[in-house]
Amino acid sequence: MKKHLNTLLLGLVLVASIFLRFYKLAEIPGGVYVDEAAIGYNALSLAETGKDEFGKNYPIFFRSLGTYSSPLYVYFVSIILRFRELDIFSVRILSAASGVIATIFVYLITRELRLFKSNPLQVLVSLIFTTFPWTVFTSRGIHEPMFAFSLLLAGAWLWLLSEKRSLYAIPSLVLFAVSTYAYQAERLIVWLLVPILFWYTGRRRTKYFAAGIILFLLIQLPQILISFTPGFSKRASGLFYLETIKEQAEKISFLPSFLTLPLSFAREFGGRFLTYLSPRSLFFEGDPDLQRSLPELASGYSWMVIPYLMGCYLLFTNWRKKNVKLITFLALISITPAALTGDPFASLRALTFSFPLAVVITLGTEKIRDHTPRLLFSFLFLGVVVGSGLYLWRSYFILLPNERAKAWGYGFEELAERIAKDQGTHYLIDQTRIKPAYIELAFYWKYPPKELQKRWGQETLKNYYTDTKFDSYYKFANVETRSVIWEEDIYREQIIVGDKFTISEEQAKEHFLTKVFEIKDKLDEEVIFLGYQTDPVKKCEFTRFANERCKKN
Amino acid sequence: MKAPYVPLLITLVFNLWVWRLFGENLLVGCMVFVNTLMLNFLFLKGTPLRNLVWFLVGFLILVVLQVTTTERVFLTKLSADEQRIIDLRVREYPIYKLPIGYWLEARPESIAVLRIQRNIFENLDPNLYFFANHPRQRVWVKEFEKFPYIFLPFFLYGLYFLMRVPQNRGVFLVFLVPLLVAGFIGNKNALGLFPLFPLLAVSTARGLEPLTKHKRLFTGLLILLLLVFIQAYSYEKTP
Repeated sequence: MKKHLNTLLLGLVLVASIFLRFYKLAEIPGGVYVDEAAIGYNALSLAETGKDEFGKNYPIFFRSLGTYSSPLYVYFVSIILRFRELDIFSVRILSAASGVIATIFVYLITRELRLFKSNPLQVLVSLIFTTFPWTVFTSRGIHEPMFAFSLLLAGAWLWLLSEKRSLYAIPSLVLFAVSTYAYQAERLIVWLLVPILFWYTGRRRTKYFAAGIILFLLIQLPQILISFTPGFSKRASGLFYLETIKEQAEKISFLPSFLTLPLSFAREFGGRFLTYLSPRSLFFEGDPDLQRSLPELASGYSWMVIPYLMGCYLLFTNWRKKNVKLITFLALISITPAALTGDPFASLRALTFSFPLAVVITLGTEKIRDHTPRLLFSFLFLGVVVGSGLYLWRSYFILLPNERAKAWGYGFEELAERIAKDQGTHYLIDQTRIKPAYIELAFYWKYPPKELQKRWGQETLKNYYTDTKFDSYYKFANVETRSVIWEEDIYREQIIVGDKFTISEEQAKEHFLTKVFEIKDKLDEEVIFLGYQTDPVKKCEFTRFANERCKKN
Repeated sequence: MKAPYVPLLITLVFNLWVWRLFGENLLVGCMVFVNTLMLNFLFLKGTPLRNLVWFLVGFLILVVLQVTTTERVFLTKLSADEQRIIDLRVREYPIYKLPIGYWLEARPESIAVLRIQRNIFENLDPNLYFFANHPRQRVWVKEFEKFPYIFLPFFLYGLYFLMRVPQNRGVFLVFLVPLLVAGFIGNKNALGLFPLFPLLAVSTARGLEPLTKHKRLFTGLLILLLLVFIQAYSYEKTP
């Protein structure tokens, strides 16, 4: 009976997980974020030509947008595109499915670790994990982190099974190695996690572990081969706060630099590290980046602070237990990659922490349950479930699609449609503040990858991992993307597209520009794009054909 | 090393918070200092009733001082921009769910609950006490280093050690009072949430105690502490 109850509860958790991740997946978040467009378009390019947007055959890291992002998600989406056309659902489905799969592995790992006395508490860990705003959000539009995390969890579960049967060590280590190609944070986490898992299960000298290690290293080879190129380290070095450390070190009086630099690093790293454990960041404020967070909701719900603090205390009191040590170490290494980047709270990079966090909260909840009358606890539990559901619905399904639409690239679809219908007109899209427009347009148009690849020559392919500079200049179809050159562009017959700061009313008047369209956000409040038609004839007449371009025209 | 008050002395000397308290408000500084000593004595002697009463009286005075030195923030008063955002948000709800939207966004109770939560969570942030709220500094206040970050592991260990003793747990509950008070009146106080100072200082001192038995380790810690204190002081002095 108890076994059936557990299965039933887990089934309900999975139903909730699937609903939260798949309901209106293509519509919320609204718009297609530039990274999503890059993933989708490069996947299309791979599916159709076997090359990325630059014409590189099966790259180890994708140079797109100059980010050198992890490749595995793109490769999997390219497989999906063999069965579906390119649209936002095709790009997001893998991440959503990863969120559900991760929930299953959270349950399995919790069961293997034997952290809780009763089985329903193992299901509670999964419930908390799957309903965290953090995990719901990252399953529905951020892609790589949840995919990588699900691979990591699968590897961890298989490792725990290898205690009984060593053969499982091979797929475990393979999955760990593969996860490092799925997201940047895993590149560090895996190398920290594997030794800890070796410690947890005790030293193993079987042939299976040896084979697993060999496979692990072989899979890492492509990364190792390009590890000395700027492309490999660009992401990490760009995010690390070296300049801040130097600036802060200079402020310290009376001490030499061999002391001030480590002190400065200790403070910067320590402060960032602690932020990921802070109740304020976890349960109230969350990620400050508008595109990486929910309005008015943090990574967890505010009521969780009580069982969280209780759970932290219990980690201390039960420190001697090996499984508790493992959870603690996992929590600490999960935070490390994020703490090495400059963001105050990078929810994506610390996603792995959501599992130990769910465990800690459940530990605290168990203690509270043990000291609370049953009826009162049931009433409170129901209250927090309903309240959490209400606030998640409010933040994710009401506020996010409206308030954060612009942050998610809303407006590009309409712009793409407009430009596509007006093939005879040349459009110049200002790139001073707007995210790279070329990839958004290429995504919506499903622009033939072979055509876009033509922009890049052999030199680019040769220096694919060494020349890391990103150039947002593109000219394809009837579009050009770059910053406006005032001395030239107003003398050409075209439509200049920008945000509300690109062209002021005075400039429009001065250069005889006519506003021809306006694209606003979902609330019809904020302007996202403005399109101005040039009038070179009037401008030339006004300037008495002084400009060279007037003579040319 | 048999000097039970050495850790507390080190904790009191090597933190900028107590010096700021003395500098800005002598009464607050003195009360905080006295309360810290009383709390330390209370934990050392196992919370006898008379000592507890004296501590609670002193603590109550601290809470009153907190209320009188804090610039009150209204829980439901809205600026023009905040009102605009609320009006916008209510419109985001589908027409048949407008009553829910109004309850969640515009009701004074909802606004008050949100602000109380914000005030409480600001004070629950360990970065506030050990890293001057870095890297999530609040824009409306000049953050300052309260305790050197090197004290953090000792604070955690000391706190855990003190909480293990059942008689101490009631005393810990008392420190929820200034948290709740700050929740309702806000955190606009240049001195910080000083009624929590005794808890932080005594826990840190308790965490430092085991180290005093190892001369070399303790000396190493003192050197490190001095360096971190110089660092904190330098940041404080730099605009």
